Amino acid sequence: MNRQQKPWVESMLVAYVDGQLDAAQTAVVDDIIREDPEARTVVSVLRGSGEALKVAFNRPLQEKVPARLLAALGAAETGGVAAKVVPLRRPARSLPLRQVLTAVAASIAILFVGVGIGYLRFAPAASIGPAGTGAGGSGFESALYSALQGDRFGAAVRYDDTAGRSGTITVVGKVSASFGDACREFRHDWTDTRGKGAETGVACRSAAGDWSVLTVPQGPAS
Amino acid sequence: MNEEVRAELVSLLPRFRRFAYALTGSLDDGDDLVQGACERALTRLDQFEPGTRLDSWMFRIMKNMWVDEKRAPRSFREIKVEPADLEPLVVSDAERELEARLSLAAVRGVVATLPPEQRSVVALVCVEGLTYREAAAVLDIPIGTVMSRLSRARLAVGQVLGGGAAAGARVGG
Repeated sequence: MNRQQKPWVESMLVAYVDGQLDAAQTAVVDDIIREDPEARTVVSVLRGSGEALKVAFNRPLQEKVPARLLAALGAAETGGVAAKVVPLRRPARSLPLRQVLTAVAASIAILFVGVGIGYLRFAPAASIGPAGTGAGGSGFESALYSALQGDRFGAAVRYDDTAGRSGTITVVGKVSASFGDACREFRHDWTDTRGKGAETGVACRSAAGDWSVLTVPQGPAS
Repeated sequence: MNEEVRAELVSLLPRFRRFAYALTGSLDDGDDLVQGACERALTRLDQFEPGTRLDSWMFRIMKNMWVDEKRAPRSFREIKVEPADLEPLVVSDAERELEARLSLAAVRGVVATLPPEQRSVVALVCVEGLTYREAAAVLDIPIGTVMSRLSRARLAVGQVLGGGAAAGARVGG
């Protein structure tokens, strides 16, 4: 097959991805991407970036409007108005984020896996629940689970596992999550065969009752 | 009448902040822009045509003020890493969540490096969800220009996401 000039331009493909073409134009692009692997790749890049951009700047939708902006519109003093200031659209919950993950997870992992994993010292499990703390669960996970379930701020829960690691988990406070779920900040003081250290982490309870753990780096990884 | 518009502006503030965040690349600079635009809008409420979209009207004011600011000697800062990027978020899968959050920070980083005319289109279409036609009207440019700016911007963002074999190879090198 003699390959001539490509029958598409990027701007046509972006309009296709964004649903801005009419039916006839869409049908033409459907045919093109069926035949042309390069066009398919470009479409997937355009789709992935579109989904990421849709949620990348959503932080203002998840927090209160600063008072100075309300004041600029003369709405500061009336508490009732301030209370009505809520996002018009629902804040990005798990769904858009999941779309992003689905769209680009594999490629992101290539770029960021080194950054992400380095900080997650003792937290290989994404989710901790009673079912997950059986034979395979480490002492850390069991202790973390009971500390989170106990929900007594400042009370340390100790563990000592068979791999020579020991430590305490202390729930240190609530974290204000934008989505209304229960989130707790915890402190993990640990000792293992190589030394000791401390880190803080955040865990949030899902509707199912188990906890998702996100360990936030406190400083440079040792 | 003006009170209704003012109340609608208040209810739209979260979206104005998002739009300004996308334009300026910074929450603080974005809020400065929103504040300035609100103050300007209040002096021009008589220029707003009832029945047209108030959000588009404000997007246009904000975009024009932003462009003017950028021309001024002391312009908005161009790129800023938000400490918020490492703040906790509800997660279902800790590692992938962290990756996604870092990737969204990378996306914001790329947007901040785009030429202003591409950033405006991205903020209107991708972030605020305007149609190409609506964005073209806000920016006073042809739809074809919206499309070409958008495709360049989206491919640039796609590269940092590595969203495809070809783009991934370029990024990985």
